[in-house]
Amino acid sequence: MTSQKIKKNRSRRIVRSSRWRRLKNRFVSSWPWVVISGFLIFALFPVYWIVLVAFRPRGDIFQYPAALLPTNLTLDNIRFVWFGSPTNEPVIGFLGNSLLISVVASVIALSFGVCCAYALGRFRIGGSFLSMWILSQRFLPPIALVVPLFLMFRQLGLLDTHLGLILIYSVFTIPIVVWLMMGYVQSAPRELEEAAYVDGAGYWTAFVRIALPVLKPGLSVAAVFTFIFIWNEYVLAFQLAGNKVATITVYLPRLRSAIAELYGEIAAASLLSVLPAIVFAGVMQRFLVRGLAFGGLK
Amino acid sequence: MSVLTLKNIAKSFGATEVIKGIDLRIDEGEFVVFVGPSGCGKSTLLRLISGLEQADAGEIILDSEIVNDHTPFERGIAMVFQSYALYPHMTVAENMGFPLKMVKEKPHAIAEKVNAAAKTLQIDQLLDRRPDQLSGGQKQRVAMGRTIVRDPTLFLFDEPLSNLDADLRIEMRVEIEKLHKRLKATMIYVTHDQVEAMTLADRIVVLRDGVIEQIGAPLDLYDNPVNKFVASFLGSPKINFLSARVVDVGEGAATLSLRNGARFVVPMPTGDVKKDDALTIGVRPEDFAISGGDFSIPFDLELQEQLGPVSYLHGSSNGEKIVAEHRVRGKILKETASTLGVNSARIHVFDTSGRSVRHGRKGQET
Ligand SMILES: Nc1ncnc2c1ncn2[C@@H]1O[C@H](COP(=O)(O)OP(=O)(O)OP(=O)(O)O)[C@@H](O)[C@H]1O
Ligand SMILES: [Mg+2]
Repeated sequence: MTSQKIKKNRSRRIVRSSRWRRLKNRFVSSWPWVVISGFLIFALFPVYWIVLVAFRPRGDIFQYPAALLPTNLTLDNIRFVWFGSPTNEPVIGFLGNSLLISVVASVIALSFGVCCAYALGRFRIGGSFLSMWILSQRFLPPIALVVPLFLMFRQLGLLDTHLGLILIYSVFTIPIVVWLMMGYVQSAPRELEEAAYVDGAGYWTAFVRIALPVLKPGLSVAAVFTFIFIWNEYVLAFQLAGNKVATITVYLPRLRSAIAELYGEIAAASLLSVLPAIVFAGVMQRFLVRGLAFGGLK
Repeated sequence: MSVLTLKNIAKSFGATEVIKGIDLRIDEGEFVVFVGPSGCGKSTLLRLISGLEQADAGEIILDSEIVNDHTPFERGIAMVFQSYALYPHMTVAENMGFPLKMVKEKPHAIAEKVNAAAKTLQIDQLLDRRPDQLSGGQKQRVAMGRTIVRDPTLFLFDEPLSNLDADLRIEMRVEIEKLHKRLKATMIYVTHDQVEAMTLADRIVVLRDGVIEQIGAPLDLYDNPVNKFVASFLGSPKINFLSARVVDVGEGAATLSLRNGARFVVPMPTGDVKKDDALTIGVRPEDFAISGGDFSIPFDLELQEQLGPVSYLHGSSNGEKIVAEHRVRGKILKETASTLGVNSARIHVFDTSGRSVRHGRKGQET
């Protein structure tokens, strides 16, 4: 072989191998996206189907084979749940109840929970025993407590009231808030509050003026958790209330008990019921991201 | 203004005793530096003084008042933390004004004082920024600004410069010194940095394992360390230790011999030494000379570090490591430096427990 030939061969091999590498790189860098897209399609398909059913006339819902693409759309189902019918109240009242109860109960749970978490995390009150005991409040499924709660609520006149649900939801979510916030409290720099003590702040001032702002990202996580937990809760809402004061989760299955199976209407109501939660999570996300950018130390 | 007195202060965390009975008096306007190895309790002692930590025993007295039960604020102290501890959600102005806000000063009075403090620290153009928009040096200045706005009587600094790079550290060190001169306030300063300790301190307190090893003016500690620990803690490069033996004890002096057989007479109190006692002598790097001295030791040069006007000769003598300072420019040959001369008046002598038998350069002795 002449030396020129060798050179040519080698350079061709280099070209080929680099092209191959580029292909390989493209594949390697794209396969996570393939996996993620696949998973997303799998996870989001039911959501897509709800949207589809919500906008379909009743006759199309059960057609076989099912039409995968949106055709023949209608607003009838939305109209039905929004304006109500002789047998069904409009959805707005239920959404209102859910919103009121979720917001008030979340605010209570967050206020109590963050104070509690601060005391436990900063001053180690009660050692690990107390914090474990608080968490253990959530080991029981709500259904296990329904009978005693029902009896207590009847005695106290709390059955079927906003106040009753607000109280019980606050109590149920405080442990979640405490546990979530304790982590944030422990990882937040203690020196900030110590600096505040030296600057003349008392415990309460240091907590409100210094610690709370630093804990904001954690608080928004906790707010999202509690709000969505309460918004989605069904068992207690159904057992301890549900006649005069009914939440959206109680409303949805009611639609089924009318004359016919109102699948389109249920889908439409479901859509309306998840919207507030999505909006709320979206708003909170802004706080989450901003909170992480705080850089007061070092 | 204040005089701080600590009487037999002790502190334990759980079962570990961290501060073991400390007595200390710090005079008005004094600049005292705490040094010591990591974990010896410097920060803990500072926090006890500040009131962020409660002493288990002993008394903390400011002027003539026992302040053990007073809050940090009531003690009238200001503290600069190693991490600066700037409030991340407040602007520089709000950070500096926070102590004033806590004592309910009027907003215009706060603004005035903050502006004045910002001017002296040259951060007046940063007042609207938030801490995450500041450089390390600027954060440091803000942290100092927050302490000076309310005229505290006692300043505590816990390694305030350790997060800065070398240049900035020197700059801020000078800044702190100026601050001390201007405010004439009492300052206590914790550092790992010898240069900071030597340059800033009126007195240095050397701590080890929760007890004070020695207190004194920087040069006094350097020249008259009471034990091997203090001797090796101050000075860079470190003091050299060589093992020696007593061959003869005379009146007010002893004759020692080194491993190589070199003999020399050292004036020292001889009450506690006997013939054949094992001792350690300490020689600072700058006390070696290539020629001269009362006696000399063999030297095996391994490396010369040239730093410009001085160079450090690393090597060994009879298996003992030695670093010697050499004040002549240029490369030195291994053969030229085959022995090092020592002036016996400038050496330190320690007994087997590490205590100094004779201080090195005390005026009346040399
Ligand atoms: N809150 C605490 N709980 C338990 N142990 C502690 C606590 N604070 C400090 N210690 C222990 O006390 C000892 C002294 O700590 P301290 O922070 O005072 O050391 P230091 O001299 O400041 O060290 P460094 O130079 O590393 O800052 C260490 O052994 C440390 O582990
Ligand atoms: Mg420390």
